[in-house]
Amino acid sequence: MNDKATTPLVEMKGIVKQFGTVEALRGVDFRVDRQEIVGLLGDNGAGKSTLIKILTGMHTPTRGQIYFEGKPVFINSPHDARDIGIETVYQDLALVPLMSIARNFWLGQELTRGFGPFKTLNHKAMAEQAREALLDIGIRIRNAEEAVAMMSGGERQSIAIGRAVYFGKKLLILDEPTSALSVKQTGEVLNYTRRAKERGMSVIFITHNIAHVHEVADRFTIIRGGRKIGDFYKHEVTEMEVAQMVMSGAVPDRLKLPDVVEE
Amino acid sequence: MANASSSADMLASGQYSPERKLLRNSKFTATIILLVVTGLLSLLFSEQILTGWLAFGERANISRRELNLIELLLAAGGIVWGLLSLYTAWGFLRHPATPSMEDYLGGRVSLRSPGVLFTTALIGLLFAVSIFLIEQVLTGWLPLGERANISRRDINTIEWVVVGLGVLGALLNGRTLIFLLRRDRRAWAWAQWVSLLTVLLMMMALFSGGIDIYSVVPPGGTALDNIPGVLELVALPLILVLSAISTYRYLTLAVDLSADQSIRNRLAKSPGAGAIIGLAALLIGFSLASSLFLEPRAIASALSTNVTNGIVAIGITLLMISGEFDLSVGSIFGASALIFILAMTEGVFGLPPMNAVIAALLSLVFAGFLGFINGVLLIRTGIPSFIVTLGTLLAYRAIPLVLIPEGRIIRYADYGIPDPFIDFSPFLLIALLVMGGLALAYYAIRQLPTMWGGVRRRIVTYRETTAPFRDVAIVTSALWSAVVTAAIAGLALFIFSGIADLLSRTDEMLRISFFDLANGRIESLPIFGRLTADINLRTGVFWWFLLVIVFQFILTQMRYGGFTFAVGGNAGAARAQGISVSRVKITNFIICAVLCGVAGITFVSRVGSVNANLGDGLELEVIAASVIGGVLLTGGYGSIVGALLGVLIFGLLRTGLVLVGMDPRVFFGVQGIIIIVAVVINTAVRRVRT
Amino acid sequence: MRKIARVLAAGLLAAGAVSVGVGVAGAQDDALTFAMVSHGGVSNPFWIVVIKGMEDACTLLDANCQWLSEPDYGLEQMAGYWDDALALNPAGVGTTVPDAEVIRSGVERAAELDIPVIVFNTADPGAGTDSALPTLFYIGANEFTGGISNAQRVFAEAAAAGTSVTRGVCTIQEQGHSGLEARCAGVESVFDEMGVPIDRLNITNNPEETAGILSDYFAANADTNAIFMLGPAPSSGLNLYLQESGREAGSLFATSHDTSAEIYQMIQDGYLLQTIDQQPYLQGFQTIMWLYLNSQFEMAPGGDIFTGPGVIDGSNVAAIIDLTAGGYR
Repeated sequence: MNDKATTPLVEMKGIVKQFGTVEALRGVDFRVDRQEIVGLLGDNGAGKSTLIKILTGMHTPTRGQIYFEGKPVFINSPHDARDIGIETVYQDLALVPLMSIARNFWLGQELTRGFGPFKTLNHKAMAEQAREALLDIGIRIRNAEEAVAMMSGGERQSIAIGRAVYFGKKLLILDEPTSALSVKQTGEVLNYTRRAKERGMSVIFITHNIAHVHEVADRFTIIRGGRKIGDFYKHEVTEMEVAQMVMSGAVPDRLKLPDVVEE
Repeated sequence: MANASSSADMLASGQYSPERKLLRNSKFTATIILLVVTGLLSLLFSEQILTGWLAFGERANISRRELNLIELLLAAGGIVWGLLSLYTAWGFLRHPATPSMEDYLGGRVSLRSPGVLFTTALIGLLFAVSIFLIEQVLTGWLPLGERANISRRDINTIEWVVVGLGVLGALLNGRTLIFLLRRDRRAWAWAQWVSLLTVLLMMMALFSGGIDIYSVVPPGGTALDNIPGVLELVALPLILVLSAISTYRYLTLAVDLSADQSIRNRLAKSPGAGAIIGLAALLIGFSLASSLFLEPRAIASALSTNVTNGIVAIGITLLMISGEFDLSVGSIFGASALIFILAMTEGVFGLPPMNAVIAALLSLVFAGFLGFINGVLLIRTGIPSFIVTLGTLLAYRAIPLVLIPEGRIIRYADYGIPDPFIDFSPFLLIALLVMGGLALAYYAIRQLPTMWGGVRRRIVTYRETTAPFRDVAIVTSALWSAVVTAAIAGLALFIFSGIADLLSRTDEMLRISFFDLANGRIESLPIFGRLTADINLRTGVFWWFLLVIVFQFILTQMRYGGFTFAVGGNAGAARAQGISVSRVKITNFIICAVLCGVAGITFVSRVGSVNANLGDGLELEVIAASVIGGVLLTGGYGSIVGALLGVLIFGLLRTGLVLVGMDPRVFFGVQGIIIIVAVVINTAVRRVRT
Repeated sequence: MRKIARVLAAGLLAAGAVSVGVGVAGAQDDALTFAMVSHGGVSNPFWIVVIKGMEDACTLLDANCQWLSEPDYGLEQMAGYWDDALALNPAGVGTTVPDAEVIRSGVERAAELDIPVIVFNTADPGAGTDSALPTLFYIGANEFTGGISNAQRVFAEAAAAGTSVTRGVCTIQEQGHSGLEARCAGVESVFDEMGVPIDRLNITNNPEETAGILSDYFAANADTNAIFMLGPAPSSGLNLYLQESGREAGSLFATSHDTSAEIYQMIQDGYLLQTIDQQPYLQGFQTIMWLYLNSQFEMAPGGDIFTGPGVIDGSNVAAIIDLTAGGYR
């Protein structure tokens, strides 16, 4: 159903995950193309977070295979996921509140000067480059030395997104990024998500509410009861139909295609 | 300056438009209550003067009819101020939406609007008080500190400081007053700063008055039995503090971002703000109460006595920033001190008695191992560090109990072994000094031009800047640059004289006892001159400060410090960025334990004996010091310099209370109050908008 | 936390007790059991001597003895140790009484069970009143008299040196301890009688801190020329202060309580005039002996037995040092 010439960035095939006797995922195919924003939708407990945890290395699948840029990969830890270019932005785990924006931005890969054990942090360069990098995708910050605790939820998400873009990640996973945000802040986060796409990234946007993602997503993947219900480009469906599918799992007749009904 | 321009950005973007706060909230109610209390206190104060119970100035007899000029002025001022406070409170109550400073500056209400009038009156009063203070000190009417004679020409240091503060106060308040009357927008920010500074200054005065309260309490009675005496000590600063707090609260009802944000920002950036304020209060309070306090002898004694606590507090602060506790520091300290002294005298772990340096290294390795056990237990079991180290606190305490089976006190002197002397070649010391000199020169070349350039830039751009405190910024930056320059010059002089001294006697080896090197009298090192006998400054103080500098540097300037903050602030985020949380925590446990070992070595080097209970209760003292120094109990925030200040506060508090001769029974009470006050200030400072 | 410490201490002591019992007589099934409950224990050299007295007496009597206390110092924990003592089904119990209320229920249960109780080391503050604990008598030093002895010695030495005592200070390292408060009260009674001012000063058991406090105190009170220390750790602090400040041996009239190698040396060096020895060995030894005599033969002395104040000063310190090596002093 996708005729793009390029190979998908990520492809998960036949993913099964069992926790004891409980089958959380019953053979799910999932795909993200390059420079694409995919809205991963599903009610609580549908299996969407299990799927993402498999992708980010926090769980290993019982069966199934993951391909990254066409090559089979085995993601056994969050570290592996980071190494191949997958960045996850969790709602509350993204930043250290009492550290400055610049220090958060560079956390784990600080700019230093000096040599050997005497490397010291280059605060000035970090602040300037963080400011520029964030401005580059449209995030205006007042002062990069300011503590993250002083910022709103939307601004924090934005900085985490900006960081992922700057460090050349290929896939950005946003886990319920907007569920605690006001309408205005949600708008900002969606805006930066779009910018991330323009910079060449792919994005998985996880949510249970179509309204949060309809504006920016190119495609929707709907999960329910551990199975994939459907996979639709934005022009194929209305917002209402997607919401219906998330809630009831009933796919409208006109959208039923052989490849989505298969086991 | 950045703050002002950025707030303009904020306003322009519409993101942070100043919303009028709801005035009928609990915060506002508290302001009204504060005003009422202020008013009643002022009236009570005047009443006490007029009825003759409270005497000021020089008065031959206390008959009720003879009031002197100062008393009449104070009584009249008290009445006016009391009525004004009550009027303001009443005005706030009467109007459902009280006009804010915004309304006044915008020309919508007159100066007579309650809050505005009160603010203006307070600034005016502060201006008058500043002038009055200068005049009184300079004319010799107001002796401060202990002074042999009250001739007018003989003004001591403390009085000069007060005059300086008075001049500063007069300038700040006078200018604010002019701005206010002209409806200049800058008045808002200035008034906020002025009221904040007033609160701080008057808190110090209140503290120094508070120290003396017990002296006016009649034997067997309470403070209520001598209200005039208590009022004389605390009423004036208390009234000013309450008034300034009310004003600050009124001014922030409708927020002027420039000042409020910059005050908060600046305070939030220094974890030790509470400790700095507390230390300043102690220094001023005690130096007013006792002339012996700011003597080199007392300071040296307070520093030397707190080397142990100071070094251990560094480690515990580092650990607490990474979000963990170590209650076992006292036991580790005691155990490693014991290993050190036993290794030199009897031998430990089946080894024969050994050289002091090797014994020291052995005790450090041993301490590090104990810390490693703490860390691994924590990571492997996932039990909170509070519980894990509570267990090891007891378990490690068994080490001395087993090693000294008869509960003896191990004394180095009992073994008849000579002090462990080490021979140093003078050339080695010269080489060290030259290296130090080169490092100093490098720092001077890199930093001094930047600093003075900054001062120059501020002067050149004076006209263009719109920051509220551009002139203050120039003065402070120039002063700071001067201090740094002087310090560098002093160190350079020290290094040169040291090298010259050593060059004159290159033919002999320098013999220094290991104990003197670790924690002896400072002049036992040959490069220092003679001090008088009663100044007991130990070399351990030098190591303590050096460790503070090193760890503060690691914490703020190196990647590892950042990891420590991140692990304590949000372990999940740190992990997500590839930082090994458990490795950082275990490392900090080891660092903390090794520092306990260092403290053990300095202790043994000075005292020369160890008993099985050594270090009992140390953990609470150092955790309290760290917390006073601004460390957040939940981790992710704090500074090593703050911990240094916290330890100094404890040390100077004890020195001060002994010098003042305070009843020993209230000692713990005062200590407790200081902890709570410092932490309240720290929390208030940190409560940034989230 | 204290419970863990108690278990630990009990374990250590049990190991010690077993080795003593096995090594000496071979435990007898019908051996008597005596328990001694205290507020101080094995980590303090003072109590080690008391414990040795207890063990020697028990060896002579072929009895089982248990020392029940925190390893270092613990007042509130004594209630729990009293429960443990009664659980041993003892023929008699010795106890210190730093705080009567903490151990009252234990002592009263012992009275109901007809188990004799002797107070040692620290007397019942309520003795002779309605609130007195039901105990037989007291074996130990009279702390108040000890304080008086020290103060009188200071005044005598000052008179002999041709000077006078201008001001004194009594240092106290564990505030609220009734025994220590009594020592200071004894000193103060003499000073009040002579009309010389006397201060109290809070110090700690850490010599380094004590030295700092003393340095500050003497800076503020240069006229003080008499100081009273109440134990070995405080004396260690005084020694550190004297050495670091370089004060002459005769410039300060100082005395102490209890003993340690450092205190002996300070007496020999002239830094201390004397120390009050309460003869701790006697307290352990006699308590067990009288518990035995009372439980088996209903014997009792005519009143309290005082093991002190015994004075150690320059005249007898050399002899005492020899005895210390044997663990008797």
